[in-house]
Amino acid sequence: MNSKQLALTFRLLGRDWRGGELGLLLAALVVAVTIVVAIALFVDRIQGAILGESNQFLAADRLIRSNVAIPTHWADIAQSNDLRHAEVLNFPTMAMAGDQLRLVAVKAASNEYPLLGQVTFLSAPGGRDQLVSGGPAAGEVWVSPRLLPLLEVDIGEPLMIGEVELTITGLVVREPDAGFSAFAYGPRVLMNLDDIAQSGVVQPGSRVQHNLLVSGSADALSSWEAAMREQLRPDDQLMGVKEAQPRLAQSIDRAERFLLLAGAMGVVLAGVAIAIASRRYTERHYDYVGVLKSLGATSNKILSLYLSHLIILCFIAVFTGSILGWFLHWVAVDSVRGLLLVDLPEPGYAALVLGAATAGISFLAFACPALLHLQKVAPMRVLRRELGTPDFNSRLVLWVGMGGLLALIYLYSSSLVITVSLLLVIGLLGALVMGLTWCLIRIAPGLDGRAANAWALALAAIRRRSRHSALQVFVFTVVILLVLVLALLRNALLEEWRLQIPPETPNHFVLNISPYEVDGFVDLLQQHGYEHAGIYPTARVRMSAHNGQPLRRQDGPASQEGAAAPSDQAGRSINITWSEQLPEDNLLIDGQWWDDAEPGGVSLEEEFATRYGIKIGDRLRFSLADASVELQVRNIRQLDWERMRPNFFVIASPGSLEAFDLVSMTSFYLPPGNKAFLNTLLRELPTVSIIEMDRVIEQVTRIIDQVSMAVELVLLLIALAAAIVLLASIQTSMDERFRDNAILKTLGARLGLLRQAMRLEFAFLGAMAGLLAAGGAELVAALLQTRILDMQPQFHPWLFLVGPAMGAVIVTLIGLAVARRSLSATPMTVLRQLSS
Amino acid sequence: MIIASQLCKTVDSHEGRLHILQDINLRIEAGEAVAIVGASGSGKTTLLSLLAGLDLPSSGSIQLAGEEITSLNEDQRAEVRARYVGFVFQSFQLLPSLTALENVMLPAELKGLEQPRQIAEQFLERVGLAERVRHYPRQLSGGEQQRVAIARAFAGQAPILFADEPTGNLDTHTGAIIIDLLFALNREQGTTLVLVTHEQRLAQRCARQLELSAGRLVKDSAQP
Repeated sequence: MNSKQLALTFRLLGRDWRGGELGLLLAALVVAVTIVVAIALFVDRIQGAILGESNQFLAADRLIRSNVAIPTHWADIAQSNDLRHAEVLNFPTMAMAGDQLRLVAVKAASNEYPLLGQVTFLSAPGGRDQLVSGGPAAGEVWVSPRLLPLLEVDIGEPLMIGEVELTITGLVVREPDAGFSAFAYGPRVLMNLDDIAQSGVVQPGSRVQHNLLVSGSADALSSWEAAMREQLRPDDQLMGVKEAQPRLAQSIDRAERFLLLAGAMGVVLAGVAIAIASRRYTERHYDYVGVLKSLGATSNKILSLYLSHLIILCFIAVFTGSILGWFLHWVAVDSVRGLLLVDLPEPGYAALVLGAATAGISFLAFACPALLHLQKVAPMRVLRRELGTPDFNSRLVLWVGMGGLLALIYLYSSSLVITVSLLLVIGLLGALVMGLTWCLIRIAPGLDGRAANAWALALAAIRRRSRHSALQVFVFTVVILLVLVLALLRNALLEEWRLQIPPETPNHFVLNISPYEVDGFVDLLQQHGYEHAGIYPTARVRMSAHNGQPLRRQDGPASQEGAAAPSDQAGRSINITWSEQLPEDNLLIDGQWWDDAEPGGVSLEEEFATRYGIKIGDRLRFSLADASVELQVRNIRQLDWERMRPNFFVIASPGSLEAFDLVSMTSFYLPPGNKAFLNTLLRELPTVSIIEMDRVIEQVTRIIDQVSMAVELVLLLIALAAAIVLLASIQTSMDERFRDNAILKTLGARLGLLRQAMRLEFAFLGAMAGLLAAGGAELVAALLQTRILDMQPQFHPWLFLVGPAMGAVIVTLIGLAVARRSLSATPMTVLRQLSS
Repeated sequence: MIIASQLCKTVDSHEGRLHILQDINLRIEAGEAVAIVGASGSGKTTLLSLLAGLDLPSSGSIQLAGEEITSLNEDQRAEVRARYVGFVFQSFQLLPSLTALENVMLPAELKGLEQPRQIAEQFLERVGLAERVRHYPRQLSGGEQQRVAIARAFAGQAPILFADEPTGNLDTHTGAIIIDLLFALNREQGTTLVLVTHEQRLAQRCARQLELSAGRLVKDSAQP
């Protein structure tokens, strides 16, 4: 193309712009790029931030936890895989200051701790919180603020841990992995690992939890994990955030899937908008091309002219959409920034490439087929319009469009399941909606327009444009359906998250309540106005034998390779309780719950039973010190891990645990700011242990808030895309509306009547689309919930009222806003324009 | 300049095969002004479309400015049209999103002529619309729109002008003005004019009349 032709191309593009159709096409392309860039950037950064923050639950990306010492060469394996590592010991012990003694939960950490996140530290009581990326130096110790009054010590004074004397140099307010320390049975004491040897508190047989923390790139982590899985011992647990915080991991996982789904749906909407706008652009250019051809323009010239126009449009769309998407993502990020504790990762350029690819694919799949069609317009059109309109190969356009959608959704979601399900659903829905709409329009009563009332006019208009009306209903249905599906999923997700941590969720667990202390404990709670969530008698026992054989895990690497599974000679430590009733939120899936007094039975959690290959009727031996009992498995349960309440893998039948000394545990809600009550509790009942879950609950709530906000913002963006599709779709019928209204006005129809007829027409089409969309949305949401989000589907009868109402109102509002011009134009102007 | 031999055009319809044009033979010399007349449905517009290379005959041949256009494909015929042909249509066929000036510039631009703007302004002035160059078709009356169409037809500097019922959408008075203008410009530019009309008055302005009836050439005033 020489400079003269290029100049002509730009000149013609500039003139074409005034026609209006290019504006709609450009808007659709810009929306596609904006949605993709904004959602991709937003999801990418928020995912990074949320994952970063959730990994702080571990203070690492992965950790290995064991009740026995971690072999020293495991740290070398981490180092050889380019991973940072730290070692942490957790154990309960007595701390002494002067003549005061108190049970404390010690965390002894190497200098590299924490690998992720920061420790919140106070240099003096009442001071300002400081975030530090490390623990105390050797010889120093940081303690929980409430330990100071309990031991009657102050900052700068000595504290004895075993045989080592350490100086209290600060207060530890929050550790990143506080909620994940199973031994937090008392006020926290954070010390340096280097002082452990001198303290002498860790001896063979001591109850110590050993942790190896690692952090690094995803690739390094996965190769390290592969190497470590071969070496793990039966009692070792290798955990990421998913294993450590299954509830949170699931929430984040679902949110990610939701955002990807929403993004994919946004891209579908934008694709539909581009296809509609291109089709309209093409139809409006038949005459233009006819004239150009009569003036001697060849097919190639026409093609190159329109392709150049579209390529220029694509560039403008990529540029504008990228800037808008970038801006929109900043607005979105800014609104959630306050909720994030970690810094957001820098925005990547991959999202911009994705935006450009979207424009390219949209251009090829949705706009090109329509434009290629233009070159076929015959020059005879200038003499006889009816002879110059080429046949539109709808099937080809449909296949190319579907191919484009497939490419876009896959490019966006990288998930074949999402891609195929969305396409299948849209395809099936298309066929169903077109067929149903066609039938409904055909059989609708009173369509003959005998009475000159608004209803008759509206229905006559729908019938006159029946093919077009069916297509419009399809587009409306897809748009409303996608928005309804996203809204349903959003509601389901938010509701489920809200249920996970309802207000006043018990945030403190109390353990080791001796039988004689239970009444006093309950009284104390009542005096202060607190309520416990049930008292559970428990014992920490070892499950030592299964049908007389050592315990074997069925999910270790060895078992997968067909060799014998590793056995656990020492057995597995486990908390056991007994109960007459099946606990609330537990679901019996196999066997029978026991009658009131039937000792000797035991109930297992499903996954736990599977892990050890235990079935109903098997016999399990539990031991504690010198005592032991053998119990028969009577039933298998499913637990709802979503709820913050005590759950037990193993529950014995009443009377089965009399051989053991049982202590009780419970949980209760302590409002923020009432922490002093814990000291009162410990003074009254010095032997009980308290696990403070309030910080964890606060952190989980905050992450869920972030995710919820992200979900809301994305939904808003999708609604915007939906509005543009509706607008584009209604635009396509504008020529006919102008002509019809001009003729009706010429024949004496009042403006009010026409307005009312138009209102009814849009309301009817919108309500029909809303009704079909409600049925479709139920189906799609149920499919997505069960197949992708791993949730229980629900039926929403109200949707069949809300869907049609929403469809009618929204389509009428947008329809009237767009089509109002066709009412205000004078008949003469319209007829003259049409004749020219 | 234009030679048609044994020209036939048939189309298949629900009622069977329709013979639109049958056995048309004619020769139009350069600079001639020829009117094709006949009743509605006699095949006038079809003949015009074939002579101008907008459509292909079912059989027979047409030479336009020495080019055998019936053996050319659509794109090759488009190139011939670009070099030799201008049009004036009954329904004006102005592009609604372009101003009067831009509509007139279009053929010159497509041909790659130098200074298309000056050419267009000159012809718009010639048709009396110098003050309306920035107006869009919807802002012009029917007569004005047809004047723009005439300016466009001549701005392409084509040696042959085809006009299909150029006054068909205009009142008698305006039609007369348009006809005067068309013939005046035709004389000035020395173009060959082939026009289709059912108006005897307009046909009489042409030196030669060809009369069609039921798809056959029944009278040629040049051959008494």
